[in-house]
Amino acid sequence: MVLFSGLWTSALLAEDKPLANPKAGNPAAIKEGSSLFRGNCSPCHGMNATGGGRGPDLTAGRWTHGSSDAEIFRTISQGVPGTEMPANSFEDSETWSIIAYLRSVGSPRRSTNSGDRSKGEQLFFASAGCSQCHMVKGKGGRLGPDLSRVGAARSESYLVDSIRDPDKQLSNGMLDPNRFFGPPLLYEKVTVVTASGETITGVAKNEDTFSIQLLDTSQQLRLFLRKDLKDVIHERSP
Amino acid sequence: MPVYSEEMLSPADLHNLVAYLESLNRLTAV
Repeated sequence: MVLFSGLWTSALLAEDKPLANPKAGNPAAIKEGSSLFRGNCSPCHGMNATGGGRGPDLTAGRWTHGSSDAEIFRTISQGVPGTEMPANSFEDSETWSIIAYLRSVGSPRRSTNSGDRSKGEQLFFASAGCSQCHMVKGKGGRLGPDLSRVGAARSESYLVDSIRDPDKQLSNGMLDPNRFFGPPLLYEKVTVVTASGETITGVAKNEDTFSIQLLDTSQQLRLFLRKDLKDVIHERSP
Repeated sequence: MPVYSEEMLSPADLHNLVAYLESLNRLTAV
């Protein structure tokens, strides 16, 4: 029994990971990590780790699930339950290389924005109309992405771009032609014209050869068969 | 997503709106 206990303890110790990245700052590891990141992580986190359609910006020093090397190692290898971050099967050495790369492109930084948060909240839910399409903590619309955690995921410049020039960000990180990570998260505006001439505009939630499903501007999910439509107008190519 | 030009959203309002968005769930801000 004591022998088993000792073996078990040894096995646990053997499983322990270093608390700090043994490859930190190593140029070869950073290069390898960059390559691994682009091949595996960029579909969600963007080509330069500045955030993509699904994953947050990893360069801003905002690590929601732990900022130490060991915690980031755990996040990469085990994923984050309840989020879209999956577990990965990298070799330990590869995971450390990815962390070395992320440390090389990221720098903790404070926002320089000294704006008034409460006035911003009033704008969001009233005059700017953001909440007609976006939800924050269960309040607001569903046409656009839920922004409840956007502060942890996006940089200030990304947020400004998303407001002033939203199309600039829509395709960022969409480098997943085989849809390994699932269908792309597009918020494409589509207008359908029915046989009677009625036009209905909304966001395409699903589309195939025979049908299209729209979340219309009153946030009703609607299904149309293409054979019943005169036209389907995409505001932006997928 | 509409384009919010300066006519629709002034620079000061943009500043405030971004401050609000940045405050959302920043659990480990540095």
